[in-house]
Amino acid sequence: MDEKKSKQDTIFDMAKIKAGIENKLKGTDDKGYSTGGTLEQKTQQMHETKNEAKKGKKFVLTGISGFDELFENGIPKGSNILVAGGAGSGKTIFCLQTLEYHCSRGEKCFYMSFEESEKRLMEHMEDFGWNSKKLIESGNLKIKRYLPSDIHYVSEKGSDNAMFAKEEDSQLLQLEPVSLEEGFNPDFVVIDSLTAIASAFMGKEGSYRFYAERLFRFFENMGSTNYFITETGQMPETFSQTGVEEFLADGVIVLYNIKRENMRERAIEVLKMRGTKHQERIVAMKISEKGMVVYPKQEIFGEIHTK
Amino acid sequence: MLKDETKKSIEQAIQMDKHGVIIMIELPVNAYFEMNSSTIKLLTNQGFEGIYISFQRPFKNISSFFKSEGIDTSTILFVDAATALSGEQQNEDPRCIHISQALDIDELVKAIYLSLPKLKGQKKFIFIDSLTTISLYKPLSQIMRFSEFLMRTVRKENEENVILIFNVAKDLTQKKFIKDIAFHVDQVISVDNNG
Amino acid sequence: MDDIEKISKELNNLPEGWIVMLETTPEKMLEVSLSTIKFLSDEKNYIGIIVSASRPQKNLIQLYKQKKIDTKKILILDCISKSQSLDLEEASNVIYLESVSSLTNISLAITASIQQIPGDKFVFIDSINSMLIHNKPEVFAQFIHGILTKLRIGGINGLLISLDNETNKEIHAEIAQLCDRIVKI
Repeated sequence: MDEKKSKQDTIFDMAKIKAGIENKLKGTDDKGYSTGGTLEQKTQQMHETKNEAKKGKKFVLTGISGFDELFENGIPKGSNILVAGGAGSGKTIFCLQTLEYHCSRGEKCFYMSFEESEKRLMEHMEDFGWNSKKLIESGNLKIKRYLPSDIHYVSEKGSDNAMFAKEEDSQLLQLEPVSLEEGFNPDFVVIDSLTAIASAFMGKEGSYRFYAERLFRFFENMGSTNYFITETGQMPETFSQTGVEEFLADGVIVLYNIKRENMRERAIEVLKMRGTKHQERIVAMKISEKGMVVYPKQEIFGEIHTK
Repeated sequence: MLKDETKKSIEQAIQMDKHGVIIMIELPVNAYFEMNSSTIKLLTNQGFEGIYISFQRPFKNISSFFKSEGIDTSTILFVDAATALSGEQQNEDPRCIHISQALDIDELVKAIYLSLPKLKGQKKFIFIDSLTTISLYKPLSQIMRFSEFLMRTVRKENEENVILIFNVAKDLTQKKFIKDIAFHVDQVISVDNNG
Repeated sequence: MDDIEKISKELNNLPEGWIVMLETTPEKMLEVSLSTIKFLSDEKNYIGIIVSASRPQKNLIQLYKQKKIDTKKILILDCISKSQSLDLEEASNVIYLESVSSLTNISLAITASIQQIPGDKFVFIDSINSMLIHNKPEVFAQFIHGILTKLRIGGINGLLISLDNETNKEIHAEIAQLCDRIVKI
């Protein structure tokens, strides 16, 4: 008993233990991943897995602590992914964090904002300690704000306002739904948001559907991995404006902000992702001072849906 | 520990001259698992091989307890749904089938369907512990579908002698779905606090 | 046999990695909790992770000191103080959680605590009845099932305390059947 007692005493420092626990809860633990290892180690491991992936398929990570563990290999490169959730659920943070991860690794990223200004988005990044200015100056990150009036079909000859174009017009198939800066070929794109684009079409659902489809095809052909933000209710049961976006998308990631008495509890799930196996569970998520942290082994207790 | 009287009731039930016997055992919550393991010991001592489907406890805990009780675990295949539900890592073991975290009933059905032929003995059992625990996670329609699959399986004409045992805590027997299942079993054995 | 003797006898007879439910009366609940924690931390030299849904940490620490329980061997997961807007004084052995109804958060905190604390330990959920005031019974049963499974996989001891005859019969049965032993004091 005395030997056991002294062994317990020597290895036990409650203050240090408490700090370790709090870091894990806040997601500010440098190790981050629940299966141990640093982010770099985990990235390396997953890249190695990627290289061995069947049928020569390539996969990408998001760099979000715990989130990539929801996948067997990662997100198939070149996927179109809906990032759906209610107000304040963390969609923008999810996308900014992913872009920061890739820009820091020398990859090219493009944030198309139909909602917030460039300045605002940069401030969001700075809030989490991500040096947006440095990433922009390096040429790896571009943030551009669009207005609804910018939604045009474009060609070398000119452009047509997409909202007024008739969706049956087959000539639109020759035009691009968006123009990018020449020479800038992003590896990752965020479109924020499809909801804003849809609202700009002012009740012309047909025109919007046609435009959305063209947008998906455009980015698919470009070969980038693309995240389309869509606003839903807090407890979504549909994940896009018209439903066609869910059909077009290769993947759907849903963020929840669940009401519990007088509090909110965050959660995330990979609802769909073609081309890879993934966990089919809603798991706990938090937004810490360093960004989003996902707990892939922590289920959510209590009801998620209103029905 | 089970009283002699209870053991006798179980023995009589499992020796029923009937194809595909289905039993429901109602246990008091005090020493619930101890009595569970006494039932398993009785079965294995009688030469039964079986599938133990656990929603309540992980495989690691059950197998170590069974071994400490002198139960020959080499005659039992475990289906560990409990570890899946908790989201924890599952260690590989040749005697244990782990179910994925989604806890798909169809996956469970498939696991049982594939496990039965692996039991080589003449006398087999399927032990479910317990339906009320899985009902915390899954809709009742799926629980009923699962129960019906099990009952159909053991009563199939060409299926060898398989005994199906549903384990239920006594205080939970008033749940409607448990009553519905109890209606279809061959015998309900009620165990009191003393075994 | 007095209550403390009964508790020690029951807990001494179990193999490591036990899960026990203590059932007692409202009058005895506090004393049973304190005596059990004292036995496990002093006699068995376990580190205790106390999930407190009944009392804020300030009150608990006072009671532990009165009972001469070494608070350096106790980590309190205080589910009360934050939601009640009480003073969240910094303490090296207290972690404040959002509320008693934040079961996911509590589960995360227990998991993190188990991972961080070395050596022999126990998790004490105080109490079933307090937690049921704030949570739907079926959801709470899921939570308990999840926690107890984690404890079992980790070979960690667990204690739950509840009021005899005061708990919803069905939920009591759902939880009790997951335990290795029910000890009535």
